[in-house]
Formats: sequence, C-alpha cells, structure tokens
Amino acid sequence: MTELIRRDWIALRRDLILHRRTLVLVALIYTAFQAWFVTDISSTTAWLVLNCIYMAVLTVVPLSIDEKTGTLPWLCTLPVTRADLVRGRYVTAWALVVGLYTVAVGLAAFVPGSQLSALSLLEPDRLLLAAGIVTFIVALLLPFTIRFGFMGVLLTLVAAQVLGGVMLVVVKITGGGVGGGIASTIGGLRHGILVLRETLSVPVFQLALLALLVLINWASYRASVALFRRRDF
Amino acid sequence: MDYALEIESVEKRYKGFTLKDVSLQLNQGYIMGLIGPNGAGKTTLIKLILNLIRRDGGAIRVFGLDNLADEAEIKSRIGFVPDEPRFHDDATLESVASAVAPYYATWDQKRFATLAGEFELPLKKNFKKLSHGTKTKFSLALALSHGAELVLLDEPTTGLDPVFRRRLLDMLRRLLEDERTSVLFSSHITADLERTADFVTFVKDGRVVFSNPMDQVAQSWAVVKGGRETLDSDARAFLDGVRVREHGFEGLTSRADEARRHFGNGYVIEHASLDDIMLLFGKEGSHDD
Repeated sequence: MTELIRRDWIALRRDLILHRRTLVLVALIYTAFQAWFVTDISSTTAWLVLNCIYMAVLTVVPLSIDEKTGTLPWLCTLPVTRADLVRGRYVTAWALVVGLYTVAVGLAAFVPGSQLSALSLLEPDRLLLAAGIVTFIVALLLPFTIRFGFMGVLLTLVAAQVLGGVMLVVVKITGGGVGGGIASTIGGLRHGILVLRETLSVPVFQLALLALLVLINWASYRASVALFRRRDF
Repeated sequence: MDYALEIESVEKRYKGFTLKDVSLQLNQGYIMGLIGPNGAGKTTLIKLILNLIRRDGGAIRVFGLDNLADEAEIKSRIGFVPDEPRFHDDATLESVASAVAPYYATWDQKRFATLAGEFELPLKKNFKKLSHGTKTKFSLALALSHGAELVLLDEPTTGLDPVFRRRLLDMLRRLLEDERTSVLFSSHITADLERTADFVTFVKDGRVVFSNPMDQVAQSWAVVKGGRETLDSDARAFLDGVRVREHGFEGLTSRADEARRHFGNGYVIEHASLDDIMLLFGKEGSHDD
C-alpha cells in the first residue's frame, strides 16, 4: 500500500512539474470564470452541476497534452507498469478536481457579491453530488482518452451528442412515449435514492454512496488499464 | 554465463511486416551492435524489450527476469535513448530531470550534473528549443544517471557531430569497465559499431541473419570481387549476395576461408566491413546496381 501511494505521489508530482505551465493557465481561466459565475448564479445545485461538468472535462487536459507532444512512449519507458501510469492519471485528475473545487469555494467565500454560500458547498450531500457528477464524467472520458488520446474526448462528446439527437428523434416519432419513459426512469432513480436515504441512516447512506463512487472509479480505472495495455507505441 | 538480455523466438506481426523468430543473447558487460537497413526491425526489437509494443510470440528476459511480469523492476535497471527523444516541449531540462529522478531508487544527481556539464546541456532551456543533437545528449544524460545495467541506444549517433560521437563511444567503453553494464546499440553508422561493439546482430526483413562476436564476423565474412564474366552459377551459389556493375561484380560470403580456396586467380577477396555486409547481403545482382 505504501509503495502504491509512493508511486502515485511520484506520478502526481511528475504531472505537476511537467504540466505546470498548462495547469497554471487552466487555473487562471477557471478562476476568472468562477469569479463571474459565483456572482451570477444563485442556485447552489445549478452551480454545482455546471461547475462539476467543467472541472471533469478539464481533467483530460494533461493527458491530451502528453498525446499531443508524443511523450506517452517516453512515460512508458519509466520504471512503472502500464497500470501505474493509468492510476497516476486518475490521481492527477482527482487532484485537479479537488484543487479547482477548493478555488471555487474560496471564490464563493471571498468574491464581493457572491450569491453562493461557501459553507453550503462543503456540506456532505453537496460534496457527494459533486463527486458523483465528476465520477460519472471522468469514468466515461478517461478510458477513451487513455486509449485514443484527445480523439477519445471528441468521440465521447460526439457519441453523447448523437445519442441525444437519436433520443430526441425517437421521442418525436413515438409522440413522447420514450421521453416519458426516460423521465420516469430518472424520476424512479431519484425516488429510489430518497427511499434508500430514508431507510438507511444518513451517515450509512453517505458511506454507501461514497463506496459506490469509489467502485465506479475503480471499474473505470480497470477498463482504462485494459485499454492502455493494448496500445502499441 | 549471466545474460543481460535474452530474446527467444520473438515475433511481432504488423500489416506488411513481420519480425519473425528473433533470438539473441547479450552477455553481461558487453556491447552488442544491432545493424540492419531501415525498416529491418531494429527499433521494433528495442520497443519489444521495453514493452512499448506487445509481442505476438516468444520470450524476452532481462537479467533473467521476464520483461512483462517484472516490467517495473527491469526498467529501473535500463537506460534508454530513443532515436528521436521526446519530452514535454514547454518543460525545462532541469524540470524534466527533477520529474524523472524519483522514479529511480539509484538516481545519482551528482552524476547527472556532471554529465550535463560535460554535454554542455542548457538546463534552464525548454526542451522544444533544443537541436536534435542536444535532445539526444539530454536523453543520454538521463539514461546514464541512475546506474543502468543495460543501456539501450536506438540510433543515438544520428544527428551528433563527429567529435561528440567519438566521445559517446569512448563513454560507452568506459561504462563497461565495471563489467556489470551491458549495451545494446542500434545504428546504421556501422563505423561506430566496428569501433566499439563486442557482438554484432544483423537484422534484415524482420529476421536475424546472424548474431555473433565481432571478431568472428570479421573472420568469416568476406567480399569477393571479380570480372562479370567470372560470375557463373557456381560462383553465385557460393555467395550470400552480389552486386553486378559495369566492369565486374562484388559478392558477399560468410565463408571467407572457403572462399579463398574456392575462388582462384582472377578474383580479389577482401575483408568485409559491416557496411559491406549490410549493403550486399541478399542482393540478387541481376542488374547493374
């Protein structure tokens, strides 16, 4: 375990050093954007959803730069396994999310005219919602980015667009039947989560949800490792 | 005998190219030159050792360990210089070295600083601003700063000036003084290998033609020269490759001693350089070329 943490720290440190310039640029743009965002949006949930989507998409930046500069083959010659390299990507991605979220909380607290309460952004439920949204996007994006580079990001986004388009067409053709079905599925899921929360005590529910998110991340990581091992340089 | 590297019947299939049944062994404390024309499979072989590409068959052992099962352990003992070094464009050499150092338990910062000084590396400069030669020197400094026991060099002398090329070769020789370090050195500049290599492996069309000690190569390979009219079917059958020119032919044989007996007067038999072997091996010689 200690060895794993050591290797992950080395990978994170490497990304922080080698991508310093890009990360600083990303942080500056994000800060400027959020400084405006916290004064313009009053709904904490709406802010949370938009911010998490934004943060999650930014996590693929270091990886796509490695692709662009052709440094991935070199990284694969370092004394690590492919699994170590992939895990390093997840660690960097989550470190970036935590860093950016911290910046956002700071802005909510200190930017004059902020409509958001910094404390409300740190409530366990909201943190879990944020982690859930980020997990969903990262778990989907990273395996494709790791296998296909930046093209993987585009493929995922295009696939999502196409899926959305197809669903709209189907909803139109079926006169809203499928749309209603999707809405009722989401409603059912929401209801199920609420029932689960009422059935379990709040801390147990939160722990269960956290465990589920960890599991999804782990499954995504395993998928990424399997895809990355198939990659020739 | 302890081997630094053992490659056994390795295969890699691509569309239009197959590295087939490749086997070689590199003893600890020696330099092996890997020669062959462009596209012969030299870089593919080095990439297979480093698991940058997946093999389709065979086995690769480094220091007796499987290169897939013990990947991290093996790579910590390997220093690698690619034909075209690529690091992060906007990172300074200093920061790349700082990012790499913790990966190696045996990283020697003093040694890196010495090599950087010796190679006149501009440590504060961004990688993208360097010439190809300086990029190679930097890559070499990284590869030699963690006490690597196996150094893999893929066409390292390409783009280097003759003075530094000579220094590099001397440095490789010095590396071997500890009798622990081994070098696999791929190059198409065969003069470099003739100067330094203890063993030579010749790869052509994805196959190993030979993998022998350098002195054995020097003894057994010869170039036979004669007039065009003397190139009969008997002579052709004896040769491993032949080039026919306007006024005569040049043939290659791996049986130098026999050739001296076989070909009588009217032929000239000379020692074959690695260049001759690369150039003539497998040539049909049906046209003037």
